[in-house]
Amino acid sequence: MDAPVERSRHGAGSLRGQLLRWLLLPLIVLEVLNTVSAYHNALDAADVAYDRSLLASTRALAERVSIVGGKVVADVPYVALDSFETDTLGRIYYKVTGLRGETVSGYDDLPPVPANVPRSESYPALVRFYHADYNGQPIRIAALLQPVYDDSMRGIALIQVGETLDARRGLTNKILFDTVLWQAGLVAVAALLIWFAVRLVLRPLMLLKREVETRSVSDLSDLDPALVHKEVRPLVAAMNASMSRIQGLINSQRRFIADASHQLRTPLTVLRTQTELAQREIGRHGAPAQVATLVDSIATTTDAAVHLANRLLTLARIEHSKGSLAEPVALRALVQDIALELAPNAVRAGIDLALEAPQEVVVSGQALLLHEMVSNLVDNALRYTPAGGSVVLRVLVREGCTLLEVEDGGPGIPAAERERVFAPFYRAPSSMAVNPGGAGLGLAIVSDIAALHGAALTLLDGAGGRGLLVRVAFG
Amino acid sequence: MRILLVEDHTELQHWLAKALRDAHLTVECADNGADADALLHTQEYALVILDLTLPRMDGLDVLKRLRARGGAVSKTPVLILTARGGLEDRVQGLNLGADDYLAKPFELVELEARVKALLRRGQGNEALVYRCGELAFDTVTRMFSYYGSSLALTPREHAVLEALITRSGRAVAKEKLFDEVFALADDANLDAIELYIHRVRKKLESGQPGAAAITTLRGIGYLLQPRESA
Repeated sequence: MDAPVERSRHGAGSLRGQLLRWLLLPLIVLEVLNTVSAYHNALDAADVAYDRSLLASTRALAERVSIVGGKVVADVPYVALDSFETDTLGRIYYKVTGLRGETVSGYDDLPPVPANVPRSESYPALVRFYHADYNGQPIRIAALLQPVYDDSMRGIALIQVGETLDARRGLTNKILFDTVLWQAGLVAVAALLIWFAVRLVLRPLMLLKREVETRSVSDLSDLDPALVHKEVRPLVAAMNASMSRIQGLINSQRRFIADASHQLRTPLTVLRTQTELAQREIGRHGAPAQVATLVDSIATTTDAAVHLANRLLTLARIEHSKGSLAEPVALRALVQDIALELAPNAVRAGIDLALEAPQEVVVSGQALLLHEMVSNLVDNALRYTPAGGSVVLRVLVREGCTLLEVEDGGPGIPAAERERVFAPFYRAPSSMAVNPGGAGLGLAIVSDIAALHGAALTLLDGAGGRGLLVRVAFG
Repeated sequence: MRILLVEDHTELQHWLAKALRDAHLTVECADNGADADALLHTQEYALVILDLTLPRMDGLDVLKRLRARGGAVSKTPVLILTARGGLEDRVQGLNLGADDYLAKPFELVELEARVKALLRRGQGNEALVYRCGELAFDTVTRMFSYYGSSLALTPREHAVLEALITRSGRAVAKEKLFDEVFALADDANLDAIELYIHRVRKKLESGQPGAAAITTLRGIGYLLQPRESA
């Protein structure tokens, strides 16, 4: 991507939150503007509606104005006013001004018509409407110019009728309330729709997430871009590319380890051959005791180096192995074969090696790797068990679970160290004295192969708290 | 007997040749695949010891060409030496017709044992004596001797001991031993083996150095080994 990507401390944040913010905030602003304008329209509409009835009242009053004996008089029945008040739900104030500006009837202090109020164009009558304050409350006043005449004189009387705004306010508030309610409802529905839409849109990503979560630790194969939307596919492609780079890196490192241990093998073979020939020469022709001891310890060291190179190679090869992990493997026969293979070592070391397996059990896995795992376990057990001790191998089925157990008579591993012994090259302090030539790779190999087979590996105390019991539980 | 050692690592070739000559074998050497192939076209050997990773022609190709040729020469026993050592490589080597396979780094005694076994096989019916301490079994006379005098055994005891001694120090599974001792018609119980083992064990008791002893490995099988001279 070319544009610099802004990253907050919390990353990109929630997609849902971001969509809600970006869609809802402008929507709310628009709704508020809409409401304000609706309120003003409502006010105008209320004025138009109520002005009409105010004008009607004013006209009714105007009809009562006449000239009697050269004087303008207004015959205002209180009943009429009452009925006006009932109609408008508010208080009515009026004032009739005569031809010479004298107050004829009504409230003398009613605010006069402001100079700049234009004549209303909605009605044929000469009427002006205006807002004013009266007795501390806002009122709307209609001022009607009414011609009055009799035989002797003629002129124009001013009839003002004002009403309090209660009714108008009631109407506008109701309109406003309705509008706000509608808009809020609209926003809520929009929010809900966005929430669901985001959920729907995110579903493929969640599927992808589950796919990534449930794959095995070592699975670095490509993810299917068709799982997600077209727009997200570049991300999946980038992830795939990144994973294949990681896989390449892992492969090249493993290849390096494999190559390195291969390369070590030939010189180690030479060293071994030379040492054995030297031992033979000494056996045949004799040599100073010190030289004999020296050559013997060279032989021991060579064996340790060979052991290390072999196990390194095995470890490097485990994940490399291309074989199927679903071959049926007869576990009892496999363990028995390994026991037969290692029996001479056990007998030579004075160790009682036994197999307890009431019946054959078939597990699914890769025979070569399982062979490697079991021989590492048995080899380890034999290395750590002193003469006179025993190593017991077990293959059994317990609660639907196939268990492979290797129990030795060695020093065991303190509970505190058990987690660490699976790490390559880690050597428990207690094991140093018993098997100084060990490489610390045996259990790492076992743990890798067990993990590859989805088998659980546990280290336990041997019978009576002595020795180590390694248990591999096949699912 | 003349054998061909094909190994490109000069030092390893030198020392292996020395060890084999010490074992009274005539050793010729080649340090690349093409030379080995040429030699195999003109010479006859009792055995070829063949490294796999070779310059100029891969060991497996040398083997393939040898086996493809037909005739008696193509049946020359071949022992593969390799640093590749993977089980898959081993399977491939054996599939291509190698007679045995030894992964580097091997022990000299192991190499010598395999070489002897292959030479024996190549010679067919030459007399062969298996030994375990002072116990010996002659494959031609089919007789056991112990401390130089012949050992009296019933046919079943003989079958048990023969099965054990011909494994040359390897352990034998109880089931396998049972199959070799009892014919199919016999309705013997697997535990009957234990009885014969017990009897043979008694006959082998000597209390002298060089005694052979049968160890029972519970649930696994039996192993015949010289008793440690403790």
